[in-house]
Amino acid sequence: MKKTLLRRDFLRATAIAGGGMLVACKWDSDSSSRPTPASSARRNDETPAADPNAERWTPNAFIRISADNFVTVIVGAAEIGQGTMTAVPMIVAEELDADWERVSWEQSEASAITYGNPFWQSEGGLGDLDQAGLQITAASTTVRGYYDSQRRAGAAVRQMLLEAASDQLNVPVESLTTRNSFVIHTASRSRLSYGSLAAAAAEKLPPLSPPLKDPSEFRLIGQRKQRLDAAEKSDGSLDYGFDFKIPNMVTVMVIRAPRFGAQLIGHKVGDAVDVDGFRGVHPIPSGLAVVADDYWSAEQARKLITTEWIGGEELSTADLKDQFDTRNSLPGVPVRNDALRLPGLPSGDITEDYHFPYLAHAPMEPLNVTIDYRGSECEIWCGSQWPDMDQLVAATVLGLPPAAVKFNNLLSGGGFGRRACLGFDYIQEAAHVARVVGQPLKVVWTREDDIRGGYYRPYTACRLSASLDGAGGIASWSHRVASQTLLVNPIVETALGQVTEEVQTSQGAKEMPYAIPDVYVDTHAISNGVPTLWVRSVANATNVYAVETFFDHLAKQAGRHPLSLRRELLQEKPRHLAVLNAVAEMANWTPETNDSLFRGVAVFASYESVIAQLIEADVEKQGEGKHKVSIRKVYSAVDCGTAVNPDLVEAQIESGIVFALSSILFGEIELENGEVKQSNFHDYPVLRMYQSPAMETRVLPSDHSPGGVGELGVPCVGPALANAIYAATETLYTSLPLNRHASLVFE
Amino acid sequence: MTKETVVFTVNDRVEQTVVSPEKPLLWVLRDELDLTGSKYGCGRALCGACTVHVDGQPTRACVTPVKAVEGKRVTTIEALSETELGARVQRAWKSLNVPQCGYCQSGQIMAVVALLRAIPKPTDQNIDEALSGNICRCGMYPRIRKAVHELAAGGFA
Repeated sequence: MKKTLLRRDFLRATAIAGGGMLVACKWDSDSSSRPTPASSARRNDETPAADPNAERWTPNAFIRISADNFVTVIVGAAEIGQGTMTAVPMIVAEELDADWERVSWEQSEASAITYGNPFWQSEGGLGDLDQAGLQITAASTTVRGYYDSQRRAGAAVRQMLLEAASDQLNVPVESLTTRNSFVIHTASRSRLSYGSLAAAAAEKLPPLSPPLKDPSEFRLIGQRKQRLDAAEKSDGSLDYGFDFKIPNMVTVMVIRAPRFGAQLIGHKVGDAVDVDGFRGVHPIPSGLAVVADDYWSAEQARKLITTEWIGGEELSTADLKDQFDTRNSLPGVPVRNDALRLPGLPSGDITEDYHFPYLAHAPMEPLNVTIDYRGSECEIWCGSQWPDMDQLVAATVLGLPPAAVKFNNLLSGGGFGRRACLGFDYIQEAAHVARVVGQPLKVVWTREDDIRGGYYRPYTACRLSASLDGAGGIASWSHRVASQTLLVNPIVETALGQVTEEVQTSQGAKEMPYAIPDVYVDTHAISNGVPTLWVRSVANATNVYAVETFFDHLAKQAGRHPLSLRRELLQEKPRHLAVLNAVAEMANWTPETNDSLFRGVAVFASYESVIAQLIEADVEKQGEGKHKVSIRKVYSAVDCGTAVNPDLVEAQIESGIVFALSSILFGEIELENGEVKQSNFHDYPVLRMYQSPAMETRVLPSDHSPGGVGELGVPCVGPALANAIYAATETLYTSLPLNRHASLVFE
Repeated sequence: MTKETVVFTVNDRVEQTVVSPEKPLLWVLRDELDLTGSKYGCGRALCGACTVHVDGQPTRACVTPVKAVEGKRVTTIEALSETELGARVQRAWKSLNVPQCGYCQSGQIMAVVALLRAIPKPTDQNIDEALSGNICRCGMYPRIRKAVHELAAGGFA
């Protein structure tokens, strides 16, 4: 797990041409067995072999200061929309005291050793990876993972600049201050730019423990700064992977299995030969690669080619409900057992079964990989949430050492987890295509390929059961989860299984926050041939829906107001209670409120953050037992510790609300005899402007270290809405999406 | 497939392409003219990421055969900053942190410019009608709506 306190930073600086400097930073979790600061701070690479740990000190630039006083922050995490390329530079620039108007970002190369997120350090058997952390952008970990190390990197460089200025002005370091990329000596009215000092500063030894600012001194952290990537995302100039071109490149589309796991046994090119620009086909493990000059010719040719397949997964999602419910009638593997019950059948007086469908991520930019394989080396351009692993997987397929694969991570047009694929499907496939097509190529996925390509949020069933204590409280609570496991291979299990809840199907169930004497949670891992993957907020999305709606159901049976009962059972959870009270106040909702609106609330903590969300809705009775629901407003109160950029925190929460409503209202992937029924945005709808409700988000002030927010806004939205509907109708909707219920009409 | 010569104007430049007439405008822009600011998102006019202006009208380039723009004026995101309104919309986008992943924003901005040209002071309903064809999977709809209202009020001049 996270080991911030044990970690030490080692920095090294290098003078660069033109008078600037590069600063490298390295983490370590055990300083005693590592080089001393002096040896770790060698200022050039000439004799790395002399140091027994030399390979641990590969130059790794986090900060570049140019002679003309610009600062570039090189960011290890991926930008998938969440604001990485702004938040991480803000953290560095804060401690560096850099002029924000002269700070820019750069995406790092793929390298877990040098750019891995310290959050993912583990005790596992991964050698250097344990120390460095995986370079994966997932689980809302970027800011909370890199926060400490990037602050120290900025502070150390500031210290070196101060020392260089002290030499130059012949004054003590203590008499100097910094501001906006200048070192200032007030007494002599001297101002030296960082750029002019950089070359000399690079000769200084990086301090091991540079002093950090007190939060009261922050000038950037906590400010609503404009995104550093906003301009190129507003004028069409940003090259996403889909746009990226290299000379002599062909376009490849793949005809993939009509059922997951089916094998290609034949194909007929047919009239595709007449398509202008069509170049040929190649069987690969995932199907048939269709090679053509460009997108249009590849798509035209692909339509005309017929393929024959054998085997594959033939399940129908309509059968899953009974299958999963049957499993949930049997004891699972206990993950929480507060009352030390004998594992067995939880028996409460009130029981409900919940069912959640498969979901596709559907990022706006469909998957694509540009790859130039030249026999002994390879270069890849791809928007990835997991570049170090994608690089490794491509190298494995190509039979190359990872160092021979240069992986250029591009900014992604959305990810939501799809671009950190535990099955590494798209990168493996592109490498296989590259092996058989002797020239640079781009594998492109159409929207249909994306929706039908698997790696869905797993189908999940929950059985919740509880007993009331007869005095207005809840005596016992059990939650059983049956879901497909995300642990699909030994690498993933080793890399992630030990360090994160992200792959646990009990996530969000185990952490049920209410003070109930007897809480029991167990799980069933179900396996079938449908490839599954984490989707934004992972199992929290399903488990928290079940927990928070079941809670309101129990409150009703107990004759309690859902707000009052929550407050009572969260007395031991001050952060939960604070966001709950804040959101109720924002919406002016009390247990005594009596007006025409219906309200539902839900509370959730994860990623070291806490959120409460409240939905106000009009629910109008119509004929034939139907209710018309229109969402008036979504309120969110967030405690995410230090909000590095509150505007981007709010943007993430708003984004989470829209993402959640898409899945709650209509998100569903269905399979019939193994074939995916949905294909594009007409049958896999996502929320649109006219369906997007008003929102109000409050970020509560906090001095705690930052928590994650990328997924925080998702899990409570569904239960808040369902609870508002429950308040109006007394109907507990236990299956999603809600628009499948004939009794509900959404406006 | 027979090819034809199609002549049209893109961002004030006359372009002539010899092309299969049913080839969508989007792929002519992206693959032949190297104007990749207009995005592919669905290929079926469902998401709006490919929105361009054809004679000023917002048009889904992914389903518009290039033949259909013969002799017409096509404007893409790449030339938008050359107009006063286009530049203002882009300023609003930056100032209000509207983009997240940004992939849909070319289409969003093209749709917003067309809306504000047609209806300088749009109501929420006008916004819903004009912009609901443009999907933002990052869910920046509240910010887009806010930006449109502030632009209509003369902001970001």
